[in-house]
Amino acid sequence: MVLPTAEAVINILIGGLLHGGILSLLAVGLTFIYGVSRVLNIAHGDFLFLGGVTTTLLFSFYSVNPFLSVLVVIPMFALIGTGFSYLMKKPTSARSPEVVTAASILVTLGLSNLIEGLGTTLSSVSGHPYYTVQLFVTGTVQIFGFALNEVLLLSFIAIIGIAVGLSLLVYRTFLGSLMRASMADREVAIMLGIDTFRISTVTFAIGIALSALAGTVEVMTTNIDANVGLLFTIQALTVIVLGGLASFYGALLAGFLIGVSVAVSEIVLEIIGVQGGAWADAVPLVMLLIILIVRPRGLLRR
Amino acid sequence: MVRWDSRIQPGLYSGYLLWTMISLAALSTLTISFANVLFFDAIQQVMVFGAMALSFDYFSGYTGYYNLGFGAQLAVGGYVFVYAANGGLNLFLALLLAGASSVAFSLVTSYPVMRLRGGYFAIGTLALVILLYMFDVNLPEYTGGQIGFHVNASTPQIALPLFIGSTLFLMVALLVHLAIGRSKLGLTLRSIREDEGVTQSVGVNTFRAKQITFCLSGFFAGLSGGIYALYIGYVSVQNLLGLGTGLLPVTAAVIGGTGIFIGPLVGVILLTGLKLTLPSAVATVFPTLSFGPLVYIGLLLVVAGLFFPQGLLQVRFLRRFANARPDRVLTGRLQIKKIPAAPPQQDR
Repeated sequence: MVLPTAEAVINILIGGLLHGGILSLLAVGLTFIYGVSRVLNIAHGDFLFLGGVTTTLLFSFYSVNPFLSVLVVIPMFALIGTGFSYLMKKPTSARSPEVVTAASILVTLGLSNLIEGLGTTLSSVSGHPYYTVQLFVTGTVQIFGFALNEVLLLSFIAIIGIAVGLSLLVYRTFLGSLMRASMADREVAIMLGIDTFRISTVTFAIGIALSALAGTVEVMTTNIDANVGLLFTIQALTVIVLGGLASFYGALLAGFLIGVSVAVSEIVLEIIGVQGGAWADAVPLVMLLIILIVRPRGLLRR
Repeated sequence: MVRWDSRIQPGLYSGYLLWTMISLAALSTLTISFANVLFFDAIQQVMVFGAMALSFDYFSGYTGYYNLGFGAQLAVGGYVFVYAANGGLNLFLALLLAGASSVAFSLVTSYPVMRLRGGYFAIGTLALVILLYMFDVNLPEYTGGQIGFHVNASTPQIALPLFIGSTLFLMVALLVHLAIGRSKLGLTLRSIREDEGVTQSVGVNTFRAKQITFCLSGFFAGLSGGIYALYIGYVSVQNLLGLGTGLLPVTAAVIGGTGIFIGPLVGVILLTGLKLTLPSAVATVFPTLSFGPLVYIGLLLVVAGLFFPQGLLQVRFLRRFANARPDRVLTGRLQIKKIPAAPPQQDR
């Protein structure tokens, strides 16, 4: 039994908050895309992988600062999201909802497998089993006498900023109200003259860009390989279920909650003497099953 | 709930099913008498994966819920079979035990998973596979981890009985698929596929119907997982729980046609053909690159989802042949009914 120091505990907790913020970004994108366009994007986590790879390549070939690479990543993946939306236009305009569900699951699952398989091939060709911004070394900051990792802190602040901006977009702009209207009742929204395809294109662009942005943050703090995509999608589902389906603030809050609880369980597992790192990924999945039994409506829904 | 209703469809007899059975039997006898190793192996794979794809289709084909956790049901059966068979149990009993344990797994997991609807159900069931994968990797002392276990019973002497057994199993799976479609349970499931809310409002316990079918699908998945383990000769994480294995029946059923008993079989035959020819063809084009099975599966799924999301046999041109008796197709006595045009609908 080894007790970790207070400093390590705080760093792990901040890491957990950061992980939770990443999950929040993913979950918000996933639930908005599903709500507006009825496409459940199983490949959502794989766009995180692609965003991380883009950042890594930019850093290692052109030595672009990872924080600045956002300027490239966001427009690029917004464009990809727009293209994705046009790809899904024909399958999702089918008459019966059953065919729409089938088509969206098949296309996004296939895309996810394709990205995973090609990513593995790419890794074996380039000789990099995983991607990370390796040489981006930073120091630590002293706050309240604790040495905190600078990158973790900066990324955490960035994630909070994005979350605030996102909630302003959703609740304070006209576009946001159009999105919420299409989510709440698609038929009525069409009746009132909202071009739902256009709204869903914008939602796709925002959602995919958020996912890629999450990948940029992820790659700065840990390393990722081609297999993380489905894992992140499932963790995002856990967040959505815990927050209550189609609830914006629920998803934001639940993301941080799950990130912290994963970090706490990692610490507890380490104290018990089990390999915490190996089991930490299984925690959200077990939580998903437990939440579905105990409180399937989510936290913020009654 | 599982009750015959003669008003829905006439009996279990179907000339179509009979023809499928006869051609399967003829194919297997031909294969045995041919004694070509490669051909034998290909047909063996069709038999094994065909039963898998059919048992996937019991649940997903009729209800329209995509059970991507099929790999988990398969893996539970495969592992239990290997434990039992290596422990000295009779192979038949071991197979039954594998099926029973897979039913137990399906029963337990159906309670949380069935609370998810539509697309979320697909991801929720996918979580089961990933969860089992993690347990398998992290507990190598019980599961063998990446290396896995060998099946002691898997010897060359067993090849012929295995072939005949898997052919018979495939026939039973075909029969069960048709029986579900013709029973009252099948009617419930199809109405769940159309609109679950309305089905509930008529007073049908849709959860129970889905649960029964999920467990039935799990039973056949466990059995076919055991047969697969016997055929391959060993079980390991990649072998049973890798996405390449778990998604193969899904891809086959989806490509062939969901909800028709011949659909998964057609898909498996297509997929086995591709599996045996495509990698070598790709290797001649790209000699330096190696693509895993996920790339092919992903490509096929994207194409299927974009152009025929309900399978090849549900394409309007082919659907009349899918529901007709082959003897009538051959003798040209097929009366093609014109599919009535959809009622005019407002632009939505």
